[in-house]
Order: sequence, then C-alpha cells, then structure tokens
Amino acid sequence: MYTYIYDNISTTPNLESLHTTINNSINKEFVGVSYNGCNHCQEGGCVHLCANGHYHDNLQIYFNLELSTSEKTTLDGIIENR
Amino acid sequence: MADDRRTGITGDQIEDNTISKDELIVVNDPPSDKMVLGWDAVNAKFKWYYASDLATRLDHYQEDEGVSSTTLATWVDKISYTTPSMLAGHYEFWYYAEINKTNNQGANQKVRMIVDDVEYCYNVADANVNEYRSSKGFKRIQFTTAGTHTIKVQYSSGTAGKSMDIRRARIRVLSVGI
Repeated sequence: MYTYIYDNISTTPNLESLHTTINNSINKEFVGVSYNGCNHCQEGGCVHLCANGHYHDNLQIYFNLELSTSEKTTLDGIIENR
Repeated sequence: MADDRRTGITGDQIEDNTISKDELIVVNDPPSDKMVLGWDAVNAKFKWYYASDLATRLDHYQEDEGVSSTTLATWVDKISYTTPSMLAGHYEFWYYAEINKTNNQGANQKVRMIVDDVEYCYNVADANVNEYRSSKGFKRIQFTTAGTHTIKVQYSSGTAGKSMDIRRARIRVLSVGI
C-alpha cells in the first residue's frame, strides 16, 4: 500500500467528503484517508514529530497503487482546497 | 572454605547451597546497584537480578490521547510501540481506547490489540449509537527467550468510505513473572 502524508492539517477535515472526492478523481485503487490529531497542539500549528518524521497532526491518504506525478499534483490540489 | 561465587548476602542459598556467576550477571556490563531476589517462572526457581535491570522492564506505558479518524476498512495504527529488549518471562499486555462514528451516517467501528502481529483483543461498536464507548482488554503471554515485542492498538471503519473516530488510546506492558 502507498501512503501519502500531509502535515499540519490543524482542523479535522470532513473525511467522508474527502474520501468521495479523492475516489472520484484518482483511479489508483484508492483505499481511504485517516486523520491524526495532536493532543498537545489543540490550537493547530503542530510542532510534535512522530517517529516517522511527520507531525502528529497529519492526514494520510492510502492507495494500493503508486500515484504518477500528475496524479500526485491532483491529490495535492484536493488537499489544498478541501 | 568459603565459596567465592556467593554474594555474601545472608540467606543466599538458592540451589544446592550455591548460585552460579551466570545467574548473577544478567547484562554484560552490570550496573553497580542493588540486587533483588525474583521468581524465575520459566525455570521455577528464585534468581538474583539487578534492580536497575528490573526497573527498566517491569512497566511500559504509552498513550495517544488525541482524536484520530479514518475511512479505511482495513486496520490503521493508533499506537505502535516496540519495547526495549525484555528478558524471558510472563508479561501482560493491556489496552484502553474510546471509539465512535464520526457522524450520523457512520458505520460500525472496530478496534483491536495485537502483539507481534497476533490479534489478542477485538471489539466492534454498533453504528446505531452516536457516543464514545470504551474498549479494553488484556492478554498474558509467556516469552521463552529475550527480545523486543511490538504492541499495537489498531482501528478500522466497518464500511470503506464511512468515517470513525478513536481517542484516549493507552497501552501498558507489565512484567508479571520473571
């Protein structure tokens, strides 16, 4: 499985809406999305690093297939404009 | 004639009036701290252990109190913790977590505890209730050799695309018999 991680989300996204948008936009055996909030940074601007080098406050997007460069750009746009 | 392998501690007769040097030294570079007598459940006998060695392995605790959410219908890690190398013995693995669907359209919510990729506890909460519910469980495991072990609390939506939440996830690893 391929995981794409976006840091510093700050506010809990509407995961089901995001799931539908990604599923309709990128055809790479999309699996789902997860959001991890940071218990320490309740106001956003998370500065706490996970063991994997990302911030506690992050969004993870899962696909069974690896995204192409253009598909990754599409995903970046969806996350940016969520 | 005095046995120079003995500790000099009164009442240190373990087996046949002697204890071996190997039984005393549990690390290659032993700390110069106090020794304590512990019960070796694997070999069913008492052994001497360095207090600092016991202290580092008796109790491990991790928590992730924040809310995490997922639309995945496959398992996602909430906590993944790998212990330092632990001696052979009996250990108990405990977990606690609270789960709920994200909104009124949510699906069932699942949570489980696995140790070294083996599932020992599992719970599913019904989608008809929109309220956090606690989930907890434990498992006692005997390890016959020393080594590290990985405990995970994982969660999953009952239906792909439907979101669930998990919060206040905690795990504890206890040594319950040397």
